[in-house]
Amino acid sequence: MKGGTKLMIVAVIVTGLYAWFGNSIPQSAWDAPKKKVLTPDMTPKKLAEEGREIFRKAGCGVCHSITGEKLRGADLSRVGAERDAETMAFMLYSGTDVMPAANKPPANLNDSEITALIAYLQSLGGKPKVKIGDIKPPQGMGDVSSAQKPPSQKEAGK
Amino acid sequence: MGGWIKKQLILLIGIGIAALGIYIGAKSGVDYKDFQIIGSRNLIWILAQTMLLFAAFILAVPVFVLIIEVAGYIKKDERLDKLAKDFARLLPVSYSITAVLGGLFTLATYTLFPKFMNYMTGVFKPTYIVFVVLIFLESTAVYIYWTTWDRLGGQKKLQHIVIGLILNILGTLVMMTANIWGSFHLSPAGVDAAGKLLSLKDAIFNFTFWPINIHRFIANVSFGGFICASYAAYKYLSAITPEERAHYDWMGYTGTFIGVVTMIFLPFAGYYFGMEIYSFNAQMGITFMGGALSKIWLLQAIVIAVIYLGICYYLWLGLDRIPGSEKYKKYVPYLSWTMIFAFAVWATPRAWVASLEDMAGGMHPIFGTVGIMAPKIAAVNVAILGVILTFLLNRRAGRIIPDGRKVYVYIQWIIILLIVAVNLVVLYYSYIVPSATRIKLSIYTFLFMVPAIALIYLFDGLLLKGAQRVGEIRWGNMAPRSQYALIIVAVSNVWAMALLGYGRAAARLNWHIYGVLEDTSKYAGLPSLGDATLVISGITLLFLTLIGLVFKITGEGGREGAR
Repeated sequence: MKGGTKLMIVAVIVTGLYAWFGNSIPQSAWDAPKKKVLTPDMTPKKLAEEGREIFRKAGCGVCHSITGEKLRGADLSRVGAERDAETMAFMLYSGTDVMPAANKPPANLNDSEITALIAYLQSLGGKPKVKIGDIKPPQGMGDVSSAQKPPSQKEAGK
Repeated sequence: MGGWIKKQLILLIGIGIAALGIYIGAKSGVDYKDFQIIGSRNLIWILAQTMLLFAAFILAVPVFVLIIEVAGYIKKDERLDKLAKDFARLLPVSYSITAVLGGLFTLATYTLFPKFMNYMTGVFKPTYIVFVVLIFLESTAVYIYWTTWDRLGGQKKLQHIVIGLILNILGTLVMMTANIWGSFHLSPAGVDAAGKLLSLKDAIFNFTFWPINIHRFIANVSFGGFICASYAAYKYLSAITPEERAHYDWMGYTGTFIGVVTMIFLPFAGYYFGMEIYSFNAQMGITFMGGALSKIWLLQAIVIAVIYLGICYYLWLGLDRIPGSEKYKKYVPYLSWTMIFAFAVWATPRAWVASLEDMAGGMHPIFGTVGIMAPKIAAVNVAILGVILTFLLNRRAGRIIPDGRKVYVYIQWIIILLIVAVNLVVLYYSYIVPSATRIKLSIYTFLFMVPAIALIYLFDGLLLKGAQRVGEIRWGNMAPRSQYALIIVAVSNVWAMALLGYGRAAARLNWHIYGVLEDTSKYAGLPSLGDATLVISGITLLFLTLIGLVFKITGEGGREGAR
């Protein structure tokens, strides 16, 4: 067998082992979040169910626990009893030093989705009360949809 | 002159293909086009990463060729000059392949992702022009540097070194220009919320521009060293005469040495990069390190463990060719177990679930404690210390230490224990501070470790100054398995580069340009890690096939040099 062929066999075995290991650990693909259709006629309870899904998909659970355990961020297991909807909205729209605003990447939620998220947070230790249209974003912090429509080549360079 | 025209012609073909792509993109009128069979995302991924690997190689080789050439000039050592020339031999063909790959990559991206790429042209057109001018100059410098190697020898050597220096400056500028675009995708600046350019200067000097420059420069040199070492291993295994074997053994050792010395700095450049990502957007940092992409670090730990242990295994086997090295071999098992333990800590995942999004709740008591960044940083530092000690063993083996110098050994031990102690203290504090502070602590540890390592080597120099050897190093007397270790290290290095290239791009999630331009194609989102590793393995094999072609084309000339 020629030297080059031997080396290629070594390369195939090594890269094959890495690929095998990569395939053998628990994993899932990450899908780009799809915008939810949330309507004003949805009950707070139904909205909270949608909010729960948003909480999971937007990656809130990476930092925030809902079981009382201490993770990187605040424990949210009783946030519904401790914070009102306005405070929650302010936190979500303005963000903090380490938590980006919920309407900015990577979560990039729209106003309706943030309302659903608030309904879910209210359900943690309390009862969901908000409906679509109840939450008004603080001034200048509403939907940022321009990212969907980039400027043309000429406009970008101007 | 004819050769220069031929070389520039290949570059012109590459630029012509790229220009065609930009033209097609501008006229496209659609947001996306698909590529049948493998899909547009995979095609761009494969072309981009293969091109980047070649770009890394052609940036790295001139760096250490120049260092070896300068060392040969200062020491008046013909052997070093021949070694530098042997490495430089790989350059001209590699440049041609990079130019063609670059052209194909540009054609494919502008054709398949016109919305995204037209936007990039709008923002960065001036830098495109600078880039084209720079690669023309660089290609000319490579040609002159290579063809004048013998003509500008002897008294004129300094002139040749100056050409090498110019080549390196141009190569670095080319890399930095390309990094403008890559770093802007990750951490855009100088544009408003709608993506309109406000300041080109801010867009260029965005958050991650300098960290990527530093990280890539170090990683590229290290990568180049290991690829050249694998070239030497390949030649060693097919060598016919003992002289050839001795030459390629030495070449392999030198390539490994360059790879390791630069690789030691790589984790710290990575922490700096990480720190800037956290500064730009903490959530992106968390996604990168502990969220959707956290499993990448598990794979990276395995690959880096193979690289570190492979290097050490090669060096431990290398003790066999040093007469009088027997008494140092007893340390090898302790070193190997320490490193295996360090990598076991590094490879411990924080959670064994498919996605951290799913784990709002509990954390395993051991995984949760060992699987976070703090112990991993300490473990990496211990592994680095293991490599350094292995190199110290290689330096000391076969030398007769003069009387009265034992004190230097005690000082070295104190420094080593101090490094371990500092890492333990930082480890303790890392558990009680936020992530952003923790990543800063890792940089302070680095700032302590670098001078400490330098001091170890300083005292080693004093210890071994004028020390006699028991016998000459028997170059060319290495077991074949040592050369296979070098090849495994090189393959793993390519794989690690491709993995981390994927990681950096994946940190943007479903954004072409994070927060500015969303990916609305059917390929928005990320593949599973398993699928990603299949593409990464494919890219690695493609690159190795192409670099094997370079070895083959340049091989005969190298054999003459060895003789």
